[in-house]
Amino acid sequence: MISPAPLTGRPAARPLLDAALFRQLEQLTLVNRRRLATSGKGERRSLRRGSSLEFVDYRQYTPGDDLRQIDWNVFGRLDNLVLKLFEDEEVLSVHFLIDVSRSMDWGTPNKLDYACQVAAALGYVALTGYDTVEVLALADRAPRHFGPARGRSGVAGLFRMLGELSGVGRTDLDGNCRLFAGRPRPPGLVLLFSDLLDPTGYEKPLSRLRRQGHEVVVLHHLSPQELRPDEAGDLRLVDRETGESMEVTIDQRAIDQYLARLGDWQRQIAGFCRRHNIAYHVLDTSRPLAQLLFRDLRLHGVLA
Amino acid sequence: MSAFVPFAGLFLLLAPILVVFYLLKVRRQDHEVASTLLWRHLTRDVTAHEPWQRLRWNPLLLLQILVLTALVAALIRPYLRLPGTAAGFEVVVIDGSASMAAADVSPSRFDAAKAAARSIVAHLGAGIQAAVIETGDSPRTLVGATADHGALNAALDAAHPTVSQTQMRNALELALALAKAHPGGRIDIISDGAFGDVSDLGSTGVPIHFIAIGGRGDNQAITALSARPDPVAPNRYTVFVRVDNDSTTAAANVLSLLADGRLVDTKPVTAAAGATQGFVFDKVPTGAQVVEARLGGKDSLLLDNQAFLLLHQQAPARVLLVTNGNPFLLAALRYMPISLFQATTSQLGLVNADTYDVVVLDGVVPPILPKGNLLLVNPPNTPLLPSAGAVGPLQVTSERTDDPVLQYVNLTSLVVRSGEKVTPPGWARVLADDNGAPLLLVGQTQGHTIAALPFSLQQSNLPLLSAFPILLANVMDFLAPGQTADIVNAPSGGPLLIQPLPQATRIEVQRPDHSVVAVPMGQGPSVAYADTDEVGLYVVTEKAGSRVLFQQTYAVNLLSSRESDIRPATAPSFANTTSDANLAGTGGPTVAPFELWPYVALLAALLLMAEWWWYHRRA
Repeated sequence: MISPAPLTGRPAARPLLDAALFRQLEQLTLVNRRRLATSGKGERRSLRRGSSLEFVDYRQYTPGDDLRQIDWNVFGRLDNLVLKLFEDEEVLSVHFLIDVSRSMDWGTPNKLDYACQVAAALGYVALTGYDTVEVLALADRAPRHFGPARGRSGVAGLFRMLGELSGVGRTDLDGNCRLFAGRPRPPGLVLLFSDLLDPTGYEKPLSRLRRQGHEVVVLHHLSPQELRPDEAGDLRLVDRETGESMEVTIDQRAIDQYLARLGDWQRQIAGFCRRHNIAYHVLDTSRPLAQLLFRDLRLHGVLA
Repeated sequence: MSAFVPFAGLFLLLAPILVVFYLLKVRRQDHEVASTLLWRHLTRDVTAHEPWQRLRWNPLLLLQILVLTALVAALIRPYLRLPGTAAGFEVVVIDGSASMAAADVSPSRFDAAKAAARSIVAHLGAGIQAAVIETGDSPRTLVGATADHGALNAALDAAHPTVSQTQMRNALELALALAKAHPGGRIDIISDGAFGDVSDLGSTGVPIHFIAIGGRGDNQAITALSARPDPVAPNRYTVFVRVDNDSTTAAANVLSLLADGRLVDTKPVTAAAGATQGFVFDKVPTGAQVVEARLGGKDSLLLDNQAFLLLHQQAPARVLLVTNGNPFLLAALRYMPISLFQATTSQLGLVNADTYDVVVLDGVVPPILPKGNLLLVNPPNTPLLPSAGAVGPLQVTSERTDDPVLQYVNLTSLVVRSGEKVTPPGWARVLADDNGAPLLLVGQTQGHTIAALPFSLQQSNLPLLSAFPILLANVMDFLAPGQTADIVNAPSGGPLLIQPLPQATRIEVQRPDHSVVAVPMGQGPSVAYADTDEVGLYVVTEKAGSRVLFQQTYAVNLLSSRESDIRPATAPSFANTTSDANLAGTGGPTVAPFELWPYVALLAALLLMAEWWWYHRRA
């Protein structure tokens, strides 16, 4: 059966997020599983020792140290000069890499639409948490870029940029990631919004991001039509990105084989990500956004 | 294995077309997907219609080719050669005439014929239909076309020989009509060959197989029994008996004559082999009602060893001759034992013609026929006997000498200068004709028994022939049986025609074995009793309730030289001949095709169901 619902094209412009979500999102924080050595003062704990109120350790005084950090109480009791170390608080750089190829602009609900909504929600969380947010739309043409921005003042620009994204061209994860890595950035949190339907593969771009020192989270977008196809009969399948077509006779056996192939593919991605310390999550675009944000992503440790 | 329609195998050429269907690009509906990446590996397994590529394994294609092959196999109608009858339709003609009662084959020729017929039935191929016709004086279909062996054998079990001559021509014509109505028709004649020439029926294209029954039988037979009243004392009779010796040796026998059951006289029979001997008995007592001639000893055929004759003491028939002057007719009729009356055509309206037993109409046919039986001489063109105009001269080219009307009559020298070319109506049978132009017709219609001579006696030499008075005597005997002839004779083997009195409510027939059977009363003016399968006296009693209205005795005799001659006869020239011994051998007369198409068609249906199941299973 062919789904009567249009699978391509985004619906008419509408607010990315419901207003009711904003207050709830302000309660959340993006989780970075590793302490990243970043620059600038922020609200996140740094690997470096700094001037926050959070005590971390002692060390022996050496000439040249800041005398203000000597713990005089210890010196009075032990007659030993030690420095009192405090945790430094840094800024987290959050990078949203959003696949805007035509394959993402497909499905009901639309995968790109869903990715923009999720990115808007997570971006709002990051900006209100005084993290630096940068957005890169991955396309085979000149990629659109937003940021870096920090604080609530960046929310409007972020939403505007996300609202203007549309599906263009083919997926080129490797080229875009190479472009992203070519610009010096401090290690940060990279969230990749993509369906990973790239004939050249997903391994190289993800490896490249990891080599840059980023913490990488892959949010694998799949529509219900891809997760549970219900087509049947003699069809000519037309690739939305390439326009290539192939003729198949789809019956239950073919559906079963497709689902087996999809399962294998997802397991391969998950295995790769596990080996490279990359977080991997499948996003079913039919999942209500609130449940994804406040339940699934918290469960997976993306949000806290 | 062979096939009836091998050319139907050309339909197998549809198989490549079926394959081409699998190679042709079918029209498909476009369906956009995000990417074909995950679908690509499926194409090898599930796409069956990639155009012009190497044909891939597909069970549906295999099943469809098998269905096509099975259908074509059914169309060519394959068959196996199994022992049985090769015909598509079998007509078995079994001779039920008197000669088949001969016991030279144990227990009798007729039983041997029935065994041969059963053998044919047993070897019929599956589904092959057959019909059984018994021929005596007339053909009788014992069972119509059927493939039911039980019905065929039951009909054969019920068959019995008759006391009559074989009318093989009529039976063969009926069999030919049946055989031609079915493809592959074939006729098997099971007979001792004691029938006339039917060779003209052999060129019909229908295979005829003659199965000879009988061996070398010796037989002496009474072939004629007649009586002539004494001209001086009409109540005294002189009896004539003819004995044929149809044996290979001289006869040494005794002929006895009994009157009303009492022995009158005996004479020795000393006829040579194949010879005929006549005997005259003049000591028949006055007033005797029934005389019986009886041959002593036992031979192969007992039916013709005795004969009965009724000496009727009834009043002579009343015959009205309507003519404007025909001295030949008048002279011939005057010497016959009848009460003759005469009238001219103009007087016909003045006399009550309905009171006469027979009315002889010379050159005239009134619009309203008299009630009695009719002899029409030179009749005008009327619907009763339509004429196509004058024709002549005429001579007899064929005659039915076996008919009682032509008994002892030789018309070969008859010449008719001019006569009417009568178109034989449905009621009449032609006894003599000149290449289709009838010269003598007899029959029954509208309650009348009619004989017709469609020419003027004055335009022919018939009155000058010695056959003329005999022919008239036979005709009168035919029109008024038992009342007119000086030679008192009885029906031979044929049905007894009973004309019951109007007030009769029941008719009973006492058979020669003294058993009594009731004859169903019909709606017509006459009733026939056909079970005259024994020689002897049949007493017909008409009753109104329990009261006896009328009683009539009939004598049934064989009196047939042809039937009594049971020596081996030659088969018809057109027929293939075998003997009954061959039938008892292995394999029967030939082999029969055992058609396989119903089974192949069933296989095609099963394959079609499998194809349907497979298709829906995949979907």
